[in-house]
Amino acid sequence: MQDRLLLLRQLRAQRITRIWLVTSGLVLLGLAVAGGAMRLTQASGGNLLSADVFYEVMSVHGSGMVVVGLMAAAGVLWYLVSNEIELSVTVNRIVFLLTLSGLVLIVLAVLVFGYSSAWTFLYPLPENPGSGIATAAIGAAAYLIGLALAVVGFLLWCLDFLRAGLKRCGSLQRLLGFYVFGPAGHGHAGDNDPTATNPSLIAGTVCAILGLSACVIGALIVVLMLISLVFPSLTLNALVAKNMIYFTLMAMAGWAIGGFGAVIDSTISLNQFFHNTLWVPAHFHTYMALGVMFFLIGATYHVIPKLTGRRMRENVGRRAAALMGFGGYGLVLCWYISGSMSAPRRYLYPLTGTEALAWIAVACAAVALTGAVMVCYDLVDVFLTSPHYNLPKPAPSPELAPSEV
Amino acid sequence: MHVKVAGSQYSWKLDGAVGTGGKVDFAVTSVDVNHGFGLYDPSGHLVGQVQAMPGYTNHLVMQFTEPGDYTVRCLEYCGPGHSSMFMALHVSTCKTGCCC
Repeated sequence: MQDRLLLLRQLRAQRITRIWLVTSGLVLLGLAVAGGAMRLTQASGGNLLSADVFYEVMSVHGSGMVVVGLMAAAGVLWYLVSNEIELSVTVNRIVFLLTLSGLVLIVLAVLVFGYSSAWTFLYPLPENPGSGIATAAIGAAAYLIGLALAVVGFLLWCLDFLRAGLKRCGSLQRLLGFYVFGPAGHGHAGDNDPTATNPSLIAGTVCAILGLSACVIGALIVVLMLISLVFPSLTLNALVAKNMIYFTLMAMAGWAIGGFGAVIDSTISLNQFFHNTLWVPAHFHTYMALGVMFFLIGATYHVIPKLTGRRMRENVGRRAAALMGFGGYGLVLCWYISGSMSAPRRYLYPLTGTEALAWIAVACAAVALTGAVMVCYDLVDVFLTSPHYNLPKPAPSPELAPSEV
Repeated sequence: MHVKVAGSQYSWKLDGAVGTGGKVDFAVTSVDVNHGFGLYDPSGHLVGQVQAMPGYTNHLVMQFTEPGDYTVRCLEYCGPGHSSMFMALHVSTCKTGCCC
């Protein structure tokens, strides 16, 4: 019976992870193409997209990437910890629906209602977007509601993760593996409890704790901005609002691990010259596009055989990784150099002296996109042609109806 | 030298003259959304910046050693006209440190 319960849990984890991965993979590709269109527009001096459309694309690209990162990470973490803790399937379905609904609303806000106040939605810009688009207020409301749905979804995911982890380990201390350093909680070093030191559990717990604080503050600022949008006479303090927004985004996107670029960027004397230049997108693309996304693609190649019973084409994966690595690092290098030459970020055109770098960045983005297309093609191909499960199915039993799986 | 700066979608308003020979205190605010007051020297390099925020006055103290035509650019995204929010700032020669 114990084995069958474990099998049931594995099958659920497989299905949930497949849905999260395929959805986020396809959305990711669409957003990467949007990013490429922005690069081309910028290099051509604003000739490809108008200013309105350019900033709409920028808004959906940034917001979508944060939501997709959450979606894919939730799916992969579910799979990695499914043998250790029992996450709620019902909560997962709610989280998936909330996140997807939030993403759809964000896309609608941009494409239908002309929201263009960026993924940072810096107060009071959504209220006063300066675009002259009549439906911009509706777009801002739709965007904030969409963001609220995704934030609430992530909040539920964090709570469920901590609930299941605490149920299994008994204390937050053991869930975080602190007992390794000495006696604590119910256990101590050498008690042979594998759960307390499982790296995936520890990593997931850290994400969940950070996520909780980020979601609470994020939900609060989104609600306050919605109220301010409906009742413009109620104004917020711009500095407090900005700090709340950036704390939320930092915690959700892992800003703290931004690497060397972030260390330099956070040094006040140097930041005078790098802040709001292309150095900034360079450092967060270094960890989001070349860190988090590479982890997700690697995890996809690792878990797909276990989820589908079919291996993805490793030669395609290697070539795609080479293309994405070469193109991706080339792209951020162009931005680092342009940023150090004072080129502003979020500009429709390159400043004098950085035109060549802008075109090299376009070429690098195209190379990286080719790799992303290869991975997505491989991923979709596997799901269209593979059997559903590779694990042996349990014998029919009145206790285990097919609908439960 | 004191210069009052106000940003608005999509223009800058500077009240005061700027010269070499003494410290220049830019008192920067915004009348609508957040902007970024970025000072570029005549060769196109960023030499200083400060946020322009509604409800706040932030100060950027600069000492110009070279006269010439500088450029003020908005460095905080403020709407679709953001890239076109810039203006020329002439820094004149002033050896006495007084307002020129």
